[in-house]
Amino acid sequence: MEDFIIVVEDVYVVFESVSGKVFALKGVDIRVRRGDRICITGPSGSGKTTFLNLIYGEAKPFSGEIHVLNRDLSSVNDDELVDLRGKMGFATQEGLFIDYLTILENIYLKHGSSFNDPQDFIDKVVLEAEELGIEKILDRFPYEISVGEKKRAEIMLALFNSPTIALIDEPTAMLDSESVDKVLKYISRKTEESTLIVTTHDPRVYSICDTVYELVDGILNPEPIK
Amino acid sequence: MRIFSLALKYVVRNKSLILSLIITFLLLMLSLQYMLVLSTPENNVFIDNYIKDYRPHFLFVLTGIYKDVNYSDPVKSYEDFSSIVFKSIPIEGDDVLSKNITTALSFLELSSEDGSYLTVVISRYSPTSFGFQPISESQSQILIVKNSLLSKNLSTYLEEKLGYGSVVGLMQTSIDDPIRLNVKYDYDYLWIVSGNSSEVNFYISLIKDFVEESPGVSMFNSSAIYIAVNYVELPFDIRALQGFFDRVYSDIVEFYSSFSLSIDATPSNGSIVKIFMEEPDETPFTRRPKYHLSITHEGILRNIEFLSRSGGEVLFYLSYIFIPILFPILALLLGIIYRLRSDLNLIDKVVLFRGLRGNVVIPITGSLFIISYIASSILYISLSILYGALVFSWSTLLVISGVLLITALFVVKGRVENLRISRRLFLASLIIFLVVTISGVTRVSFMEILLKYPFLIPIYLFSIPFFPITLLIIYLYIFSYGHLIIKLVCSDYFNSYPVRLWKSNIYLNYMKVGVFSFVLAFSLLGDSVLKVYLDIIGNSGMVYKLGFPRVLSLYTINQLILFSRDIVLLLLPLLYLLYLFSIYRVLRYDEIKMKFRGIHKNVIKKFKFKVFMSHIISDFLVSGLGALLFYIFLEGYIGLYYGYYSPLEDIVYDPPRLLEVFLWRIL
Repeated sequence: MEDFIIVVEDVYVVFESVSGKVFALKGVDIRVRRGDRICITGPSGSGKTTFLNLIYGEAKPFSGEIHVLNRDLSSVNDDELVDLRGKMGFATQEGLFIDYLTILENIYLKHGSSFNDPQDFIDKVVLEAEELGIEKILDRFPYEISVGEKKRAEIMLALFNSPTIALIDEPTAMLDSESVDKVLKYISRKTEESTLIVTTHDPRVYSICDTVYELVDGILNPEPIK
Repeated sequence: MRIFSLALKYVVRNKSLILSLIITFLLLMLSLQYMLVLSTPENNVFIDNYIKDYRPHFLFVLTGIYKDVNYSDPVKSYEDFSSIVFKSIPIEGDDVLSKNITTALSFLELSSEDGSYLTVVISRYSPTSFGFQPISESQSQILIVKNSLLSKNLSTYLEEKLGYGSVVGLMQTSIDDPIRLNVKYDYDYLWIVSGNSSEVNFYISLIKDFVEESPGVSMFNSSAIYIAVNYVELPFDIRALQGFFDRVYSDIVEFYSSFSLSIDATPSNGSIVKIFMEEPDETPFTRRPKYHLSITHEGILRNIEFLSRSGGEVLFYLSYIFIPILFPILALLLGIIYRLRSDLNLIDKVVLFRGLRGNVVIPITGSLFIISYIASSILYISLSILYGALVFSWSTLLVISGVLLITALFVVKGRVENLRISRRLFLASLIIFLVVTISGVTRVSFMEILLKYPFLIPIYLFSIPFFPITLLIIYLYIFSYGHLIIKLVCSDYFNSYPVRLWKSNIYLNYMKVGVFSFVLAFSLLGDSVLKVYLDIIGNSGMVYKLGFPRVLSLYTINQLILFSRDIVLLLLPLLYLLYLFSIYRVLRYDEIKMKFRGIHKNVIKKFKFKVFMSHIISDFLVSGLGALLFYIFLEGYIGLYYGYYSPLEDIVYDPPRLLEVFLWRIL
């Protein structure tokens, strides 16, 4: 097991709904090695985001085991989970920014402490923002920017320090083709040393991954389609 | 019809608009109250009519030098004088008055070698903090104000003769009640309160014996007859009647002239004693020359002149210059400094660069002018509400142009989503402005309308007990409005964290800060200013006119107000806890986000602490500043104009003392 950075064993995830229990994931099994670049594809509602949330410790399994960075997620407390998340970068679809901080400040809140000189931080942020084409929105508040800009800012925030594990949910959603290219290039560069798991139903994203799995109706097909 | 229907639906659905209308109505009511109290007879014939319509329960004791007192028969003098006093009051056939009218007649004035001076007054009324209270025939009292050796000696002497406890020592403050009487006793008094005039001879003989037995003590050969006003019986502010007093002044002079010539002289019909003597030195009652009526430009100039004379320049500048001009500048500077400081603290200079990219300097000069202008307008509107009317003058034009300017600002900045609330505030302010302006321009007294249409009176009465609430609303209103404008104009500077937080629920936060400001200011208020409420409420006269039970006496209302202030003080910690909890809830939500990001707990703690503290500091900064201004406004401005003693008056030249009082009140 130590060879794997992420181990998901026979995991079921259940949500309660008005119509009863809904299985979001059904017996998912996957083992991810350090440096793997995996893409999970599938239709909307197939459980892709739940899968990422599961690895991130945000969703709790109904049954099964999840090991991330050699830690059993079922046995970590809140503080340990936060520490674990510190080594991961999760770019959500919605972008969980703090509303009264600018994009720059939001990024600083997460990554600023690793910079001795704030100017170095600013320089790096500006550089990376230019790479994503969002340098003009750094001093804006989250509610002042477009969905596409927010998506790119979210990816930048998640991958800024090249995390050990990068989780990206639908990186190309709501983006124009030019932005898609920039984003995919950015993700590739920032995750060269990372383990990447990205969910998408955009085939263009496959290009940055080594393996593509299909998730349909909560069931992960163990045979990769790429 | 369709438009009307749509408008009606809009109003019904729009609770804030209804709230604004209610606020407007309450403000209107308030302004009308002030209009009643402060309108000068010259500008408003209502007062005269009101006096005729509702006979005031004046209780006067005349002041003047009465040289023909018959010391051999003081009781006769007492009775004769009483009869004259009765005649001098232009009220006929009023049983209440005839019962209440009495005199505080000084028969004896003593002096000693050490310079002590003692006035012996005989009255059927006992002086109290709330005016003169009648006593029954069996309740004779000897009250003495102990200031000098002479009074102490006399007190001791009387106690030897009459028994221990027969002389009640009065604290200077209990009899010297400038708030009530606007007078101050500069001399010692022996106040013989007797319901039985036959006892007077006995007391006089005792005092004469004391004079004979005391070397160096002599008795004057003249007697002063003093004015006293039973304030409890006064249904409205006597200062509002200043013009009326002025008009009858000639009668009074004539009365005095005739009176001083002969005890049998009959005063001219219709005279009312002018209770404020122009030269305080002429009477032991040294009034505080602090009464003012001004709704006209001329009146304001008079006030300025008065303020200059009375050493109130500081207050004048505070009111007319500091608030409208310096306050916005101060707010701007504080905003900029605070923003920079908070940014520096929180994210280590990162955002400083944004602030320095040029969007700080450019709008400052223009903004300052606009803010000052608007603030002046707001101040003027509030003062106009205070004074109850606007005069169509350059000042009105200032306000109108200010309102137009605000409108333009709103149009320009209309894209800001949070302005929806502000538009309603603006609408409400516009209504107030129009009402007040129209009222001022047309000089229509709403009270006249009330008397003409009595069905409106209950509404008016209903509003009276809500005066403190109305005041709160006014303050919230002005505060929210002013702050919003500042925020709008200076949105680039006011991007500090608390303001950003406010954006999530701007109205709630205005309320929060407004409430805190008010609570702070309210708790700072001294009894003297709270008694302003008393007068405003009580002086309407309507309470009595409509036959309300006397339990609604001014004293009762006053006590209720003081009690409510104490309750507020007690509730302050609770409010504060609620306030902290509201911040905690916001931060808790952010904490969840930060934990999701995997941000280290120490960073989260640091962040929460700094946001929390900056929130508190900024709120308290704003609230405190607001409270201080509010306090200055009430204690100083109103206090000064109403003629009440204000602690601020004494400490305005002594800032450390102001701070001391401020802190003492808070703590």
